[in-house]
Amino acid sequence: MNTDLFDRLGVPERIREIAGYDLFDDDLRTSLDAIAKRSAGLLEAPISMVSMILDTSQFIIGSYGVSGWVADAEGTPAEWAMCTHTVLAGEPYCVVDGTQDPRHADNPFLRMTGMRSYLGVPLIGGGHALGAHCVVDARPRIFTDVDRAVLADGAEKVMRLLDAYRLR
Amino acid sequence: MTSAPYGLSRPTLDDARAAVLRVHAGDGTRIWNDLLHAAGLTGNEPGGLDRMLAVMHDADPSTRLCALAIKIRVTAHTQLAAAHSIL
Repeated sequence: MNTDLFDRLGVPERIREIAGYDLFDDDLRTSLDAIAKRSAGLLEAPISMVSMILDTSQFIIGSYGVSGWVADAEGTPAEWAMCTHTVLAGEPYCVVDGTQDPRHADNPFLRMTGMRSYLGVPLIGGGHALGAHCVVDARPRIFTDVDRAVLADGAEKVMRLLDAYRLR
Repeated sequence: MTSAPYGLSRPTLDDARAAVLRVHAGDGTRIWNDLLHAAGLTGNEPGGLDRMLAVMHDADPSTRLCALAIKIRVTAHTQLAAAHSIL
């Protein structure tokens, strides 16, 4: 396993902050799915997700267009998730074409899913980057500032929603 | 079945221990020992992960998230290994 990566993600304070939300509430999940669907529509992307990056996995809490084993697992190993990069960067993260990008060309997740491009913005809570709201496309894409603004608006909606589902 | 499809290893009890120590820092060892006791495990059982994950799911919120993260990896491994075996 990727111990260094997991140690960076598994900072106790960050995990406690994620654990402070009722991420399993059905109504919350439905609302997050709607936000993902809206972002996918506005950015004309086939897939959009809202996810938390746990210590070893990406946990998808809202989605549009996700299928197959990723949908069954409700996530992916953290080392394969583009959203991990968004969380570690703490700022919007863009991939124009992962197959040509030396940062991602070796990622088996791209080969097995056909994913090419990615735009994600972090979900910030309690001073930590907890997760990301993103769109994914199967074609290379140069995302615009307008795309980033649309996704940032979606991320703000996600955090306002999550604040209503705090456990403490 | 392929043991590590796409380089993804199936999580073990050792991985669960590492996760608990990671997210609980100084309290990790005590919490891990409590979890072992609750699961009726010594920590050396090769097949003890499922029992441990069930106990972790009912533990404190951070430990529950560790269990969830490991379950995601188990499901990913199971499905990808099965897909590999029929290709």
